[in-house]
This record gives sequence, structure tokens and C-alpha cells, in this order.
Amino acid sequence: MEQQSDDSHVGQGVHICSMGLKILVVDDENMSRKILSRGLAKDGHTPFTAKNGQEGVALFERENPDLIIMDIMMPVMDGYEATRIIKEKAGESFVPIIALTSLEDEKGLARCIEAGADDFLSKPVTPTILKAKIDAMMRIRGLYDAVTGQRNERDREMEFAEKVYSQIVYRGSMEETNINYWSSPMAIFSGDILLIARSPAGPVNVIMGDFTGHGLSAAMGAMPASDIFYAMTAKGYSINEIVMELNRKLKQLLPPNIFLAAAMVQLDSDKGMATIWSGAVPDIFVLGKEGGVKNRFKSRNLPLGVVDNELLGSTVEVIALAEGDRLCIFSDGVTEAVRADGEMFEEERLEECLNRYRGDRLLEAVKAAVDKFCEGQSQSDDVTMVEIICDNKAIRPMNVKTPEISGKSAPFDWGMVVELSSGRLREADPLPMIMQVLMEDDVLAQHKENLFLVMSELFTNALDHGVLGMDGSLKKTVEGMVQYLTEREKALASLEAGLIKMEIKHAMHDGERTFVVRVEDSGPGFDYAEQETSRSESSSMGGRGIKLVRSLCKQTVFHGSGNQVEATYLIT
Amino acid sequence: MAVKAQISEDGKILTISVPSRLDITAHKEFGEAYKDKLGPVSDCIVDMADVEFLDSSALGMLLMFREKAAEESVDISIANCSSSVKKIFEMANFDKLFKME
Repeated sequence: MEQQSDDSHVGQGVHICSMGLKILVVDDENMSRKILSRGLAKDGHTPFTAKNGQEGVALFERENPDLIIMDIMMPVMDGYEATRIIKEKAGESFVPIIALTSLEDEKGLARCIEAGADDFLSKPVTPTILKAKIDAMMRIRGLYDAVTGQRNERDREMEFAEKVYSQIVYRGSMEETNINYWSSPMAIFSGDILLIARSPAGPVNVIMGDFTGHGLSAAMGAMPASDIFYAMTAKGYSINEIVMELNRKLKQLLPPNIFLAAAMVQLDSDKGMATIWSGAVPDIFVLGKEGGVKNRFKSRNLPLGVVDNELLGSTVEVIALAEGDRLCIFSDGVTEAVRADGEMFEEERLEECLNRYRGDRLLEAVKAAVDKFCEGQSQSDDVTMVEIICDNKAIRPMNVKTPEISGKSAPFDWGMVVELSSGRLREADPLPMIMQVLMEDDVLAQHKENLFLVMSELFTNALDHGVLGMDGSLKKTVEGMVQYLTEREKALASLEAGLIKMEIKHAMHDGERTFVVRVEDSGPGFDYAEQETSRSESSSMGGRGIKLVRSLCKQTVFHGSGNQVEATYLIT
Repeated sequence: MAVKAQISEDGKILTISVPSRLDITAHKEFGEAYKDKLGPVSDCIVDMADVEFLDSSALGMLLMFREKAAEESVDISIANCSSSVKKIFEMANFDKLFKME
């Protein structure tokens, strides 16, 4: 039998097709089945019948009807039960069921709907009413199909967008051997971000952030945030500077009710210390190598993107870490994980779990504890956890590409002089800015880490010991380092006079391509001859310092009263 | 439970009572509660007596309100917070942004 399709429009482009439907009639009365079938066939539909609920369910599974007319009072299995079963089997797809009933009492009719029927018809059924009910049901199915179609399309778009998003946001070095993490988004897009990147001089930067809400709108802020984090980390900016820039950018971009709660950590495993900035995230825990909580740090700052930089007032913690210590950061999806009675996991349970655990699968243990607490309650927020281990034997992976596109190769016969007076020295570390200029040259960019190390070391020496007059011996111990930094901060803030001159020459010299750095400071200098002959400890912690510069450079020479130094690095 | 707004007799103080469940509807109602009402008042009290928990969207809602109130030179204070709500404000350091009573 040829099926005609009659497409009638219902507003907003929703097509309904009320012709040639496959209709299942379930009724124990023979006459009723015959009459209904005849009427339906006359209207151009394809009817088939069942004489009780059980048969009806079987036929539904086999034939997949477009609509079911279901009698209520039947032997073997009644209409209520059959409706329940069929609706469950139909799952997400909409199979309309019209209950046939001779009951006039309200409760009976209501029970039909409760059982899952979508409408009811009272016996005896007139053809006009039957046709009208069928049309109405098909209109509803049209709307249902339209919504489902839109949702499926949206899901496909979201999945594609998420792939692109991941490529942009997760370009850092996520495979650091001393960093473990676990994240579980609530939907296709997570409002949580976790980024890891190496600073040129060695320390690793980690940021765990949690945007307001979740889903795509929350994730939008992640793209500019990740750009800033990667670019500034690659140039050697400090945690504080990166935080300020993130705050400025996010405040500018995001609407007032969207912000980024975040924790940023810079871990210097070689020096055994970490710098922590956190705003509006749960407490950060420090655990010892053998287990147990050693320390706990509260968020001291506002989240990012809320107030202007002047009002942000960044507070950082600088802490000493022993080899094997770990820093644990959690997003509020962990502490606010909720179970059926409304109780939340909370920081106390988290601390208890961290304190008790012994072993090297810490995050798995925390995840298990949260899952057990929630007792099957579905996840209501994005969850992120990070474990950062102080490990100076960690293998350093290949450097990651920064977002900028390197231009042409600049001519290599050039020089640059930078003079920094006390005013500028007080302000901010000038090295990232200088590095930015150097990195324009493709060839120099390949030696980025080494050049940064050499320049950074010479500059720091000139500033700390030459201009500020700091005593390097403090830096020999881990605790001393923290004290040293505090005193240095004070000395820098109250600096009145001082000058550092950096001269850089990139040129051919005796057939070799060289990069020469010359740093001169206004300090009194020191007895460099004595230092060289006595082979005494270098001035920086961990055996770095001038020793490192000497190892990287072809030659390193002091001049003047020791307040001038020139290092020659070979570009090969 | 819905958001309730009340103006004091002298017309100077607007009190908004926040319901225990802060879903999307409540956010909308909260916005309606202060819309066009901030001009004549000088202070607004946000009554959190029924609130058990605030998520980040709720904090965002308060930030939006803070901005609108600042435009009309209205002082906001947050009142009657339970200890758990206070903890949430403290973790976010929002006690630096809002006057807490």
C-alpha cells in the first residue's frame, strides 16, 4: 500500500505527518479491535492488533509503531502495566499512547496518565474524535523531534568546538613527571582550567582556575587566560606579574558576574621553594614525602576579573619545600561535592583523607574518598585536583612553542645597551622585556633557556650584590632563602640610588658567532681574583650562579673592581 | 520560595530577602527585585537568613548587584549569614568587597 505523506505546517517550521501511520491497537474485546482497525485503515493508516497487554508489548518491540491505542481493562496484563513497560522500553524516543477506557471516574482516567499514557479516549470511540486525537499526538511528536534534532546538532557542535578548544588551551607541558592531576568536567566544556608551563630558568608554573558556572560560557575565558599564562611564563615573568595581567584582561573581557577563582604556583625544585598565589579557591595543602599534612594555606586574594589591579592587592606565600614534599590544589568541585542528604565533602574530610594516605597515588585516594562519600549522587560541578611534587631530579621535557609566530631572522651584527636606574630597578624585573626583543631573532630563540640563564644570573648578581649589597651566604639554606628574599624585597623598595648597565652584542668574532653580555653595576665590586683562585662556593643556592655562567659560556671575565663582568656565549 | 523586596517607611532602605534555593529563576527574580528601585534609596540590605549555600554563580549575581548599586551610589550590606555562608564569603575574600553584618 502506498503511503502518502501529508505535511501540514505548525508554526515555526514544524512538519507534522498524520498519514500512513503504523498504529498498534491493544484491546481484549474482539469487536472493539475490528471497529478501530477498520476506521484507521479507512483513514489511510496501517493498523495491527493485540488482545492483551503482554501481546501488545511484544508487538511493540517487533513492529515499532508510531502510535498505540491501549485499552485498560484486559486479562493477562492490563493497560497500566503495558503502558509502563512500553514507555520504559521506548526510552528517549516519543511513542504516544492513547488510553482507551470506559471508566468515567476521574481517578481511573488520571491513573492512565500516571501510568504513562499521553491522552485518553472514552469508549465508544467516534471516528472524528479518534482522528482529532491522532492529529494532536502527531503534532506533539513533531515538536519533540525538532527539539531532539536541535539538541543532537548542538552536541555535535560542542564536541567539535571542544576539540579546537583543547588544542588552544592545553598547549603547555602537561606531561611533567613531577606533576599529577585529575580533572573531570561536568559537561562537554569544563569551567575549570589546569595549565602547566616551564619558565626559561627552570621553575615550573602551574595554574588551576575555576570560572564561575560551567559549560561553554565559563570556558570562553580560558582562551585569553591561557595565552597570557603561556606567553608570560615563557618570558620568565613572576607569578605576581602574571596574576596582575590575567586580572586586568579578565576584568576587561568578562561580564561583571563572571570571575576566575584561581591558584597559581611557581615551583623551583632546585632551590626547594614555591611561590603561591591563591584567590577564592579551597585551602592548598602541603604534604611531606612520607605522607601527612605539613601545612595548609588559605586563599588570601579576591578571584580574578572582579576588581581593578590597584584593588587586587596580591598576597603571595613563599614557602620552603624539602625534596619529595608535595603541594595539593583542589577546585571547589571537590570540597563542595554533595551527597543525597545535602551534606558536603568539605575541607575537613579532605584534610583527613590527605593526612591518612600513604603511598604515591594520592589523587586516586582522594577521588575514591569523594566517590564513596557521594554514594552515587551525580557530579554537580567540574572537579580538578593537582599534586605538584618538589623533585629536582624530574626530567625536563622539550620546550613548548609559545603562541607568537617568529618573524624573519634578524641580521646578527647588532648590539643593544640597556641602562636601568634605581627607579626602574624598583619597578619590575626588566629581563622579560629584554628577552622579548632577543626572541625576535629565530637563531637566538633556539638558545632561549641558556641565554636567559646567563643574563638572569649576571643581572641578579649585579642587582643583589652590587646595587643592593645583599649577603649571599644566607642563600645556602632553604629557610635562609626565604629570609633573604624578604630582606631583598625591603632593600629594593627603599632603593634610592643605583645603576645597572647591560650591553649585548650579537656578532661574528674570529669566525665564531657570539653573544656577548656585559653587565656593569654601580656597586663597590668584590675581590674577584680571590674568588677565582680559592674556588669558593658560588653566591647562589644549589651551586648555581657564576659557576653556571662559566659552564655555559666560552669565557666569563670580571673587570674593574669586580663590578663589571663580561660573558661570551657561543651560538652554534 | 521567592525573592522578596521591601522598602523601609522612610523610603531610604531597600531590604532584599534571598531564598534558600538560588537557581536560575531566583537569579532573575533577584535582578527584578532591585531593578529601578535603587534610585531613591541610599542603602540596601541583602538578607541571607534563609541561605545555606552559595555557589560561584550566586557570588556572581551579588557582584552584578554590587556594580549596579555603585552606579546609583547605594551602599550594600550583607546580613544574617549562617556560618557556612560566611565561610564561603571568606574563602572568596568577598568580605573585602561587601560590608558583612
